[in-house]
Amino acid sequence: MNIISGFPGVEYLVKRTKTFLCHVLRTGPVPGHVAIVMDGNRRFAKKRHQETWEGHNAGFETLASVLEFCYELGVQAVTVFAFSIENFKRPAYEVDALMKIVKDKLIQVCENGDLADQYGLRIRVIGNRSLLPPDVIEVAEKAEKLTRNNTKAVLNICFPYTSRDDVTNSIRRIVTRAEKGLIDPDSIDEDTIASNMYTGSCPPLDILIRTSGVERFSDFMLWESQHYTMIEFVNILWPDFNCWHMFKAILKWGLQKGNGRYNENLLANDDSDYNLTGDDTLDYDSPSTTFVGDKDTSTDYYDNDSEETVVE
Amino acid sequence: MSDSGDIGAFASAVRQTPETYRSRGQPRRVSNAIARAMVSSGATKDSRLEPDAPLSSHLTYLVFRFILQIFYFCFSGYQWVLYYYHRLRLRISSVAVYHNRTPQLIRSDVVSLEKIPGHVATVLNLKNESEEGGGIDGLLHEVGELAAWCVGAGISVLTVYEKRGILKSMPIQDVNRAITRKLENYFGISNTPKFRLVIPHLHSQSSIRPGDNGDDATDEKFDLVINLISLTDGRTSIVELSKTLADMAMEHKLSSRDLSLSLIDRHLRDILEEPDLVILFSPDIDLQGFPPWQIRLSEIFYLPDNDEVSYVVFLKALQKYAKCKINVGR
Repeated sequence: MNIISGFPGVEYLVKRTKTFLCHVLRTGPVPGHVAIVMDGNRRFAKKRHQETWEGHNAGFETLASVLEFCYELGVQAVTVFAFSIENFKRPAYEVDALMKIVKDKLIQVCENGDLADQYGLRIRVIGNRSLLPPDVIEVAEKAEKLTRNNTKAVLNICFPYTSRDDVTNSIRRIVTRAEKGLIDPDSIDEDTIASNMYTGSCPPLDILIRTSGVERFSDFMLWESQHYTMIEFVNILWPDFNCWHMFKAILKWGLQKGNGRYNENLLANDDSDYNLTGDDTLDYDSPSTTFVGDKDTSTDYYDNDSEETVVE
Repeated sequence: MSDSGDIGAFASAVRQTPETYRSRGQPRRVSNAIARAMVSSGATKDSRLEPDAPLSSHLTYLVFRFILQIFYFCFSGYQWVLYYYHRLRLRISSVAVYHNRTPQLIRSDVVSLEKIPGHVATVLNLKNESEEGGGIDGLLHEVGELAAWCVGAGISVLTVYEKRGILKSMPIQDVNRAITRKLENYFGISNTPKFRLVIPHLHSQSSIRPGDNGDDATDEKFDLVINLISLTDGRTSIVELSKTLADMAMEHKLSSRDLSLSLIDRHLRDILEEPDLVILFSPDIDLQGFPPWQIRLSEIFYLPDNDEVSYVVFLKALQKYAKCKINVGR
């Protein structure tokens, strides 16, 4: 692969292909919310006899390219599992290295802001932030403040996150409100809990991808992935993951969605059934409008600016 | 990469901004008429096409949409091939692996495995009455088989999730009888393993725990505990718990500051302990609302394109579980 990518023009061709695939996919249904567990950085480093942090670094390179693909496609929200609360159990040097990488990347975003500006991207660092070192919190707040007025798309960085903590936090917020008499306990339902979660303001989760062949949720998006989420366990280490795999996943999702989800006889349908109902006219005429999926409410997903995601 | 020329052309066509289309001075009215004609002639199903948009952007859109359909067509062809490949493999392995209704064979299948899960959860579906193995009898048959395999493999807890709660709502004696009959079938009447059916509730005092012969189930040792759960034990139970907690907070019996993960975990554990392995007998990963809190670290197993509750899937799940390494966070 390395030899091929060294040829002149190949990089250009790959970029063009990527854009082309994006434009093709956009004419069909586009997922509103994609979540990714970036697993396999360390195994990748080990395989190549590298240091662990080099694996993590390679992982972030992959992330940048996959994110670019997603946002170009018109995905409204991408949630990435960068760090689990359980990861604090790892050796201190590795935790420190990871903190440093994330901090550097956030500083980078703040300084040149290409990705954020180009796609109107709002960055949120979600999870139990009180566990982070103060300097990282500072950078995270700065990045959030800089991008808070962007409304086209959102990037949730789960750092440090576990789904159980998320649910607990949501219940705690509800109970606090009940304490103050602001909410009637009888009116609590699934939507109340969902909307109080860290990703409460995002569209429902459409695709969850976990790399490295591990078939477990590991405390990520447990609540969100119960209904109508396509769960993909991919047997590829995260740094080896690329836009082609993403493309296949979205194509598969689109096919399922087009044919009615969980249709047991997915394959027996003939050509006419690949209807693209629910897709929108792609508005090449006015590039400033957001590409809205098939949910009518999606336009006001990020309007709630007063939304506080930080745990006290 | 044979169509790289086309790719470039398409990509560059799209990159042209709408202003360029306009500046070419296309006669608006003509393009409107054509656009309208396309919409009315049913060339596209999308009625939301704006009649004001210039023609070339519609054309670009239609071309891309057409290419997408080709992609879908190829991809479904690929899936079709894969489907038959998976089915064939499954057929071959189910010939090779059969329990023959003898626990000894099941035992010998699992004896070489490094570890056996203590708690296995499965997701079952009520099939249509008209289908083979459908209806409630089919469901009871599947639960009975699973119970027998679990006892044979030395698994001590089996959780059966059925979305609509049919097993929970039918008379518990019927379920009991169906499973007992199945176990007798496998183990012989003199040797039938003892099991306990549990229908969990949020407040565990109300659990129904009928033993083999009613309520002498206090000190007995069971070979298998079977939990029957449904959709209401999932997200709904978390909602119920929040309501209770909110009520308590309003009456100042609880402060939101005391509310912790372990408190919630303690309550939800009453419903179901974390399973080690979740076996799905569906063609893809569809949890159907299985209790989310409890599957934090569970290994999820499914065989692509399989839709039967079969011993091969069960055994493959155990083999996969034996190989997996769980390291929480590390």
